[in-house]
Amino acid sequence: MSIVIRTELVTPEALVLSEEFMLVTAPGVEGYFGVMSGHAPFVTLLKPGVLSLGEDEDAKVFVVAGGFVEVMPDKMIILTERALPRDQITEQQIQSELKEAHLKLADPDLEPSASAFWQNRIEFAQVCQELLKKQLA
Amino acid sequence: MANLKSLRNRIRSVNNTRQITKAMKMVSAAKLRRSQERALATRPYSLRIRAMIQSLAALAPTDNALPLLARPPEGARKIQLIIYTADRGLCGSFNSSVIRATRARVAQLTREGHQVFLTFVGRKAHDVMKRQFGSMVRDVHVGMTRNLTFDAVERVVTTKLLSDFDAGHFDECHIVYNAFKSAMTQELTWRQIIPATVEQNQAADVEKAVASPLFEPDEETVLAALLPRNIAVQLFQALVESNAAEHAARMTAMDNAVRNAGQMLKRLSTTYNRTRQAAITTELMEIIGGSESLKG
Repeated sequence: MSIVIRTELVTPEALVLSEEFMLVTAPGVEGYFGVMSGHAPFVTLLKPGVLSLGEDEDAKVFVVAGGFVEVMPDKMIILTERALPRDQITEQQIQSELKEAHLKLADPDLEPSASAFWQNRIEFAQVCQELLKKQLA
Repeated sequence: MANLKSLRNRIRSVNNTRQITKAMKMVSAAKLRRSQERALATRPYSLRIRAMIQSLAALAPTDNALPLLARPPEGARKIQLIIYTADRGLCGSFNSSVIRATRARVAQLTREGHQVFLTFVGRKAHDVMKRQFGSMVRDVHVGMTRNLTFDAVERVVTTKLLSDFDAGHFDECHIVYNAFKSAMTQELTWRQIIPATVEQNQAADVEKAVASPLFEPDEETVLAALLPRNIAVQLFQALVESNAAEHAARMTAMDNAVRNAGQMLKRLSTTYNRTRQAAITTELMEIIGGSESLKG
């Protein structure tokens, strides 16, 4: 069996990448988990968090806004609504997104399904901020 | 025979029209390339999420715990249609084919005793149908193609649809749009998105292929989260496909218009030249006639 696992990162707007990695770490709803080749078949939900593909310094790091992961022994599919590469995160953009989300949530006429959407936005922004802080430290 | 001046004006106006249609064709061709890429880029997500639902629905208990998957009651239902057209015209039969199909479907559903609601994405169908079906219109979303992101569709269309569903405003939802096949062809597509359709034999195949995986937290939670995501992505996919198809249709329509204008120009200039020739001949005859009579 191959020592790498083929990983596809898919958003509704594009197939972001399809490459092979030794190790993938993803933010599951019940905690972060790592996947290597030969993992048991496994399906889980993602929460907003940091997805890292590869190991240590070489890892490709994305912030994802929740979604699904399907793991097969030789292949892994990550479906997410939004995947932002680490180097494209800017403080300014995060701030404006946070502001918009807070504003929308303050609206009393907001539909329940929309409030979940904006809540998710806030969590996403918070993860981005934490990641930025860590980078600076 | 028309006089020379009006013919000249006619030629000029046809020529202007041809230039405009030619420019529109170029613009559509450029936009088509971009929108085609977008439409194709959406397919992987949509395919995978549907495959996941297929395999999960086969494993999950078949009771009606999940409203998005549950069969609606037999008999009269409240049916929501979402109609995708362009915001603008001049794209051949692109809009009219959707409108025609929707009319037929609404008539059929009403005849069967269902209550029908319409949501329009894109202005054109609404413009045409509002007089006839005004009381059924629930929402009109205009200008969606200007900001063609998943995010925009989700926050405008999807959240509204899902909260309407939760509130019990309808129990079945279908979408109709022009799917992008190639630059030359669009395919009118109906799709039922609520309740999610699960093809039984396909589901069985998937189940056989994948040894029952582990679920975190559990099958039902995962499936419950997948279903609304699937609706969001289908709504988005319909929009990008429809957008690509619109540009393709406009490009073809404008190409035809340019060709027709060219033919018309050719005919008109032939007539113009003939008329001019005839006028010269008449003048010459008159001069010769005059000088002959002087010789007399």
